[in-house]
Amino acid sequence: MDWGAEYKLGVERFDNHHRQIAGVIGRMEDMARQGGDPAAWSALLDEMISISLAHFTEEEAELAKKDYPELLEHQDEHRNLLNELFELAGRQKETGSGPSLEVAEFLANWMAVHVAETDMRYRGLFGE
Amino acid sequence: MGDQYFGFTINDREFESFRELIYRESGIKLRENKKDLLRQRLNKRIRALGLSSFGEYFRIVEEDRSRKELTEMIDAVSTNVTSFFREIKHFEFLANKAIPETLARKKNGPFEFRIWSAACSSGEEPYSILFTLLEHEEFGPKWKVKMLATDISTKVLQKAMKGAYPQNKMEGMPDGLLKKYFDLEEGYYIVKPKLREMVNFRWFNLIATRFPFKHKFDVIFCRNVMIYFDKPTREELVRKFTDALAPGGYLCIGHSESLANTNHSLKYVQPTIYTK
Repeated sequence: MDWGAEYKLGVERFDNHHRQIAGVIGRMEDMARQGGDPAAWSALLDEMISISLAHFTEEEAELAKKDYPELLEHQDEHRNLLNELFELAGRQKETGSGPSLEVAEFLANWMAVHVAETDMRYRGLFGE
Repeated sequence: MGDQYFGFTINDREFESFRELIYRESGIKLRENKKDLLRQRLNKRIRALGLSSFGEYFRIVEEDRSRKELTEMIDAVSTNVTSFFREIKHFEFLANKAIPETLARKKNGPFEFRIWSAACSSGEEPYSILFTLLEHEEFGPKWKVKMLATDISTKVLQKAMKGAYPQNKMEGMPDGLLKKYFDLEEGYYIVKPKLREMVNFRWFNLIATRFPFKHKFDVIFCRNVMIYFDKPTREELVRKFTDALAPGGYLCIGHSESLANTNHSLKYVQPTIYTK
């Protein structure tokens, strides 16, 4: 996925995380278009889970420290994605299915909406 | 932090009882990882009601015939960020694709655009859809909007019907639309009465009811609902939506939701948008 200026929060640590996550999603999109075996796809799903989990945990802790008023809603959005991801990854392991463009596009869209619309709401807390 | 150490605690058996009650009444399936969330959020309710334990609170919810506390509880565990034009891609899709297509499909009448905002929350979503339609160059005076907006929470429905939003919560709303569709009163932007009357707000439980609609919808929005449902409930809901859609109609779901793991007969258009 293209990770352009519209996704830049101005919070360096989180911008770096976002770029890494977008990188994993980009690899998923490439694999879905060019083909890949189920094991490689499964590894990418797992990587997506661990990298998002680490980022969400750090981000939520930081927002809690700053008494962010929308923390609960923000956390919910994180948890909802993780639940969906756990389900996608679990199902993939059961069925051994290969790369899916629908799944890669789902994650790319989630990330775009979450960063451009949800994360942007907290950027004011981090005055430079 | 405070809650964690000084709040009321919930044991596994109590959590199970709450999960079961919430599932039965709303279709919302709380997963294991929501135990902490349930505890944090219901702590506030328990304190507000002057109760001393989760067990006591459970009895109040169960015995409340008015279902008011049940609604409060469901609200507490299913919070979402809402704002005007949230998930802007859906509104771009409406303007660039769904509206022109529907108008072309219905060029010989009936001259009605039928939309259902199935989890309308405090109204930002149905009003954003309404503005998108009214602003569309092809949506001329011969066309009528038939807009249904429903939610399981009476509390948010009341807010939606009032259509009053704090002045500082209007991010995403272009200035031109603010001036055209809102009145500013004492720090609140209020949707003009004529526009509020264009939306039919109704209480509706998506899972407990058979859909009673005579006419099919051209577009259905149901965002951030299915994420709380288990697979069978999701599949049943998507089946009912499919049935309620006109051929060529569109279903828009929330950005945290995917039908990739769900059996359905819709066609995938782009992330979170499906067509019949």
